[in-house]
Amino acid sequence: MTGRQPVAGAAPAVEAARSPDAVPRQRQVRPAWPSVWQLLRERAASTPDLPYLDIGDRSGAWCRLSFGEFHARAAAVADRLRGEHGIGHRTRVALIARNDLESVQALFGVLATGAEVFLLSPNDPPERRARQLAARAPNLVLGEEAVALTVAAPAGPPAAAHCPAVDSDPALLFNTSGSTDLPKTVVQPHQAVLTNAVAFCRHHRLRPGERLLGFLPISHANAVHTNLMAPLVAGCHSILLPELAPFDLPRRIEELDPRLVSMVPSAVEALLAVWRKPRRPPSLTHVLTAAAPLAASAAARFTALTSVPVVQGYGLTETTNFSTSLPLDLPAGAYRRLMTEAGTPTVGAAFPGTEVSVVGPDGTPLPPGATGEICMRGPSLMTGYLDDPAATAAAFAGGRFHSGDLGQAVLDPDAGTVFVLTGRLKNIAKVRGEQVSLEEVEHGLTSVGGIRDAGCARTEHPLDGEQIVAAVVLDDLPAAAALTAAAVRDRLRATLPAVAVPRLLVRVPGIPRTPTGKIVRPALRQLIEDHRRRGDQL
Amino acid sequence: MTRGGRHHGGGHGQRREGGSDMDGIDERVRRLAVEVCEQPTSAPEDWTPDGPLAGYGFDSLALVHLVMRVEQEFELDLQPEDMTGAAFSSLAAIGELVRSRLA
Repeated sequence: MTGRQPVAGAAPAVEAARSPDAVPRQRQVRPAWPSVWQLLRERAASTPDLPYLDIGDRSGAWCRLSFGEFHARAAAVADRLRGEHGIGHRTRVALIARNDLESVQALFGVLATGAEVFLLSPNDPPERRARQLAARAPNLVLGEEAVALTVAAPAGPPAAAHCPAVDSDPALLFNTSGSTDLPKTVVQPHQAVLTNAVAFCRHHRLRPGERLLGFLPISHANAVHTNLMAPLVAGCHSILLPELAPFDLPRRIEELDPRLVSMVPSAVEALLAVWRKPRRPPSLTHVLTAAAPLAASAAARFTALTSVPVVQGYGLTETTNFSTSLPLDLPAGAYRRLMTEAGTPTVGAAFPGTEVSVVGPDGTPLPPGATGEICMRGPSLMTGYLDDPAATAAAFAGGRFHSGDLGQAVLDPDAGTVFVLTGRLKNIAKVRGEQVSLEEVEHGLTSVGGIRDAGCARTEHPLDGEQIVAAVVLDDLPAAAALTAAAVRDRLRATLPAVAVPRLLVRVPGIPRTPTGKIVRPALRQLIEDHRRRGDQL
Repeated sequence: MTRGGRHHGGGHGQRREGGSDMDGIDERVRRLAVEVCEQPTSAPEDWTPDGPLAGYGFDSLALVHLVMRVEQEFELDLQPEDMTGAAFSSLAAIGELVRSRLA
């Protein structure tokens, strides 16, 4: 097995952007541990008997593990990974992660060896997964095999092996939407994971023993950090459901009495639809939503129905998890002004450990009220895109991470400097909180035999937030004329995540493009709408 | 708004007899289902009244969307006990729920 070489000295722009001193002193966050594993070891030593995790295992049993028990199990997994698979520092393990005990144990077991974890979704179509594995070449792939690593009741005390990975060594790798067949892979180092987890606990004022309820998939960054990492820092009890089951969620919230529920806007909408005569559990201070814009009306209806405030946050996989969040305990008037009665609800103020600014096209910071690109600095940032120095350099131009989101800073008398997102520079849709690159879907469509050209747009959807709609130009061939929407979708499902498959496919004579070949997005949206009205569905 | 379970009397003539759809409720439910299922995995013409909606391409959010549309269409205000996966598991189950709440 070949060990990976350490990443060559990060480009100066990345180093500058990731410096703790890029953040004002009073808002700096300096985690006390060199690695995620060291955090778990210290937590298991200080509060071994506090409950850490309620989660199902693959036999269908519902399990509760204390910090001490979980640490012992993860250490046993690490021993097997080292002994049987040669996994260690500077190796890479792909984990097809489900919200189950085996996956979570495997995740921490890999981190204990010093290796990096490349998280993959169990819902990826096989072709897509195969391409990703071929490109990223992990030393080991754990899917169903994660079960075989499980040691039900480890004998004796866990190995005292020291985790060799520290600070800027890669911890977690996540795919994010790209403009080609192959998604970009974000490298999150230990330091970013820990910084953001400490910031999360500080912002939400989490205390040992408090319960966090979650159901988002741990193959994505949000749930790993919110539901697994933050509870380790704070000593909280994480309850992780296998998936969003809307009909069961009201009962779960009322019975489990969590301090916090982690959501996405489509889950808020679903909960609004099914939660009848809600009884607010006494511990619940707020629900947290991120990953896609929350409508002011949804926030208003939710707080009216449940009397529980919705706290919106914002971040990207590239910034680990959260970069901003609504301040807690705002006066009622400020909450209404910024969330429920705002034209666009705010995503809140900069998170501890992160500096957020709005910059103009020339890279200079803009004053409050001016619209520009949202940029971040601080040690919560990724170290770059895996094997893609060009994309990394572009993202960190000028020593800041460029989010691709447009927005402005607002000076609020109660909340201070908060941010409002107004648009996107990149052609990204957010379907059910998952990012979908319109270019990737267009590429998928033109790979279907019979489709000569294609253009995609995003439109609003009552539950999903946004949905993808597409215009296609067919070849002048008899076979193309027989192409059905069902056949196109079947073909796309083999290569794209389900959320990326267009809900509407219309036939058009041509895609509006600039002389250089770029799609004219506003004209395309209008074209799709016109053809939809005329009944030109494929 | 009709509150489920509170209105009594009347409506007996609309009950389904021998599996026929004399009141048209089943057809209206089916139309709503076709409308909200944006990615059917089988042709809606092949959907049977008792077949599981989950098997036709309805995921949990599509089922919630169907709840919302059913309430609008029939002007119902469903109760906590109606909000179960079982009540929305098939076209026939939804038809029965609607009938019981309109009765």
